[in-house]
Amino acid sequence: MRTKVAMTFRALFALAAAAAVAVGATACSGSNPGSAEAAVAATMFHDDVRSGDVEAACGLLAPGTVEELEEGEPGSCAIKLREVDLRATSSVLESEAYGSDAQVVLDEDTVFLVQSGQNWKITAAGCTSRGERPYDCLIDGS
Amino acid sequence: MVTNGLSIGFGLLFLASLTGQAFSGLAYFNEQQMAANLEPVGFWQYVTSSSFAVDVSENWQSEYLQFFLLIILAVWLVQKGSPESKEIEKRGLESDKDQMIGQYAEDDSPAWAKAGGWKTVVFSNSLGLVMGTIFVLSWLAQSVAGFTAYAQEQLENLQDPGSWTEYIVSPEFWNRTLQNWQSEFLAVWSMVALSIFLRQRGSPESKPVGEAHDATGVQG
Repeated sequence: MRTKVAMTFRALFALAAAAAVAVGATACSGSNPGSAEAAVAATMFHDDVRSGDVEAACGLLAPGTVEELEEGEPGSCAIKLREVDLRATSSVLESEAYGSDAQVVLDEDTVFLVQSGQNWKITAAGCTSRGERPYDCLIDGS
Repeated sequence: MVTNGLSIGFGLLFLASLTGQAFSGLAYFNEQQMAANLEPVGFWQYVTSSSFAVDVSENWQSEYLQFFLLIILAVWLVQKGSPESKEIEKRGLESDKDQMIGQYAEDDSPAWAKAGGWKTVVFSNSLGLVMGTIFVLSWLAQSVAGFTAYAQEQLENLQDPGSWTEYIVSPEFWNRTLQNWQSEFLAVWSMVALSIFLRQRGSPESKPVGEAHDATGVQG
């Protein structure tokens, strides 16, 4: 019995090992947007807001965030966004992506993003750390 | 084909389950995307995501630990009446003659069983070594995948993701790990204990139907 069981084990190892390699390889080289793309999206958002192109900035927000920002007035995203006092940023300090969520730490802001198709959309911006508690954000659709 | 039925059968079951998991996981992931008004992701995008890697690797380590411990502990621990156990008096590593190694190797024995020296030592422990290595690697994979899932949840709640080193000493990691371990150990215990008194006609995992309850080291 031991020999038969051992043979089955070996066949299963081979399959499992092959699958593990495949999973590992694909997870690292997948077609999903990564932390670099998240940093680009966060920077673009800030650039758009600073240059006054709030329509374009609204296009970078996640639908839930737009909804929160408009507060029941559909189509008012650009107007509402102009009223938000976002601090100007100039550089990316850190960008981390885990699964379908990302956090980009800029010199004067922290931005949270969510994956939508092949792109990153901003869920929260103008965020201030409160230690262990969730960040306090000026724009927040979480 | 017939002589490899068991490995082919389980191999196909594994692939079918993995494929089913990929499609159901994609559907579930996209359900959540739609609920948040976000664009759905494609099949390849999903199977190359960390979400899928997390789900695939999560249970592997406990399965390998289960088999690794069963293989190693069954060298010294025996169970009277169980077909999972060898005969009581054979406890331990057994003699070179019993194990057909070195000068006791037979014509059709594997080369490394005949070779002697380090080759025979390595080959004599190869099953446990490979099992143990896969267990450690898959546990490491679980820690990385689990951390990704945890960090993602933190980000969803607008909190800092933390680090992997913080994660592996967290209650979350140990809770996930021990949840899996307890079920595997229960399964082995059930198999060892129930097979003393219960039978499955024709299965090598069982004793022959008419075999005595206290007969040990017998297969069906």
